[in-house]
Amino acid sequence: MLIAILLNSPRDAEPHAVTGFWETWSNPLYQLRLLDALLSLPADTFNFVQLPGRRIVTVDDVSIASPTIKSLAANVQGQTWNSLELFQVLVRLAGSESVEIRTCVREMLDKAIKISAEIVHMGLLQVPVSFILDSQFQLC
Amino acid sequence: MLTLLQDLPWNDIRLEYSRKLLGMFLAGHPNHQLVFMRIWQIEPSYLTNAFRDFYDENPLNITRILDVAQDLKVKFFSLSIVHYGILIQIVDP
Repeated sequence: MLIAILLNSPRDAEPHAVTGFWETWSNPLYQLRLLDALLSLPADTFNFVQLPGRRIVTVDDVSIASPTIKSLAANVQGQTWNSLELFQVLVRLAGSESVEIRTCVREMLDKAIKISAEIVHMGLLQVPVSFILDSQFQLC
Repeated sequence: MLTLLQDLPWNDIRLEYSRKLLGMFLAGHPNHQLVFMRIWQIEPSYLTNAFRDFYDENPLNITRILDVAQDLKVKFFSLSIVHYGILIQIVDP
């Protein structure tokens, strides 16, 4: 049901249904577990890249690079983890005071590293500092 | 890298995983070229600081640093600002 809503929500709708996952939830552990479940689905069932959002890397980002680098970008750009908003949520919740939430973030990052260590590294680096500061302000 | 990251409000998990992954890619992960290219595009000082720390760990790491720099087509002049020791190695290997 949830997948159907996400996939059938009009792409030009503002805001798109998927943005609900990037907000601050009152139950962040549930938010993480839901994200984890969606990320674990086969790519032909659900993939965050199918939905509107900012990507961590695309082939266009490395259009002037060598064929090897372009090929590496092509291999990872369709990964469901290729979502900057997803990493913003993970980085924000990685700073939680709850051990349970931090453990869940670690488990998700460990899984992601096995799928695409490069996406995780680039994602962690690209989360803007202003986003974290804004989030901390909102949480106060 | 450490210097840059300490200047930013990074939490422990972000810092820990970034360090671990940087180490993995510097050690020669097969997809390192894409990662270093994107870092060079996004935050070049992160990479130059990482080179400096990697060199400080062991001057023999200069070989690996130059390999990465060559992949990125980073000019030696740019690298020379990273660390005086690296400049010496390049000029008088």
